[in-house]
Amino acid sequence: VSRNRAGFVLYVTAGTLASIVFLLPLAWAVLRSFMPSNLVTQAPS
Amino acid sequence: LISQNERLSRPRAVTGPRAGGHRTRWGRLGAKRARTGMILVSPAFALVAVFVLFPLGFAVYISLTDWPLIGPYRFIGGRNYSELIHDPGFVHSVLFTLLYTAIVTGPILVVGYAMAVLVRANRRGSAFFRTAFFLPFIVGLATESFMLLLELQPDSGAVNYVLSRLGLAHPGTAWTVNYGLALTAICVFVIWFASGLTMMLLMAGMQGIPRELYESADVDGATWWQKERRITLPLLRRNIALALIISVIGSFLAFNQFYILTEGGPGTSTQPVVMWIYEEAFVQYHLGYATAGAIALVIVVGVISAVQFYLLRDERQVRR
Repeated sequence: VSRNRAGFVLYVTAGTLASIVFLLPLAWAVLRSFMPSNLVTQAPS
Repeated sequence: LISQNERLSRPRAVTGPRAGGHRTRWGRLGAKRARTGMILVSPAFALVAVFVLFPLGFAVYISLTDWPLIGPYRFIGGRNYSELIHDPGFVHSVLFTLLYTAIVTGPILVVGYAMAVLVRANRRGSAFFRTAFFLPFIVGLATESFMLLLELQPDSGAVNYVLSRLGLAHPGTAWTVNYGLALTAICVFVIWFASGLTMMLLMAGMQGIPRELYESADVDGATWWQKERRITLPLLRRNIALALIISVIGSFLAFNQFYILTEGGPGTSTQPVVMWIYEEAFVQYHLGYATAGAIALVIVVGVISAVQFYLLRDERQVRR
């Protein structure tokens, strides 16, 4: 049972981290689309 | 079962005084069936002829002329092909495409395989993970190339902001105007983009492997790695071959990401072969010469795909 639980924890952790890698850039691009264009090309403060 | 069905549907050899009559009847039936088959196949053949064979033949003809897109042209034989071999621009673009293909193919397969292993079982959350991993491929390369172009800008892009915070890059790093940096950025981007498709192809293959094989391996005390090496990988040969061929052909035909992110620069250092063809055809108006390059690319891609199919063929099929 403990081996199964460890496997599930590993699966959820790896899946979540990989999902962040794949989804974060897309989510960030969606957020950027709501920014005014002068703010998009400005240096971050 | 198939061979049994074939045997049943095949007309039996008839001997004796009525053999000739039977043969004639079967011959007539065979001719009728062949005629019906040809009628049924003809629409598909017409489509292939109009949309594949004729354009291909016409492209071969154009490649043997000095077609300038607008204006008169003349037949020049194989001169375009002989000039192509000595053209440093074409040779560089082919070598660059080969380098790019060599860099991205392995990581796309490895990352796609790892993701397929993660989500192949129908566990809680697996549908969400599959969707998340496949989403970049659905959004599309051109859209994401524009997104990346924005984020690679010196001083304002998110890439420099994050990397400078981690101490890995200067905030003013100009990614798209440096050969090494541009190639690195595009390769990482393409691996991120294309791994989802490889994951889907491999996952479909993995789900078709009978569970009994893994259960019997468990009974024998096999480790996870032994099961992957002895069961999953050998039974996935066809899927791996398909994923590799799609990946290699996609890399050979790369255009969008380079055109949007670097426009082939600095200079022509990141110009893949398809962009070279585009530049020659629609910027220089050397359509005949560009078509010769396209035909050469078709031959190269065809040969590489044939070699990959041969090397990764299913040995069970060969033995049959």
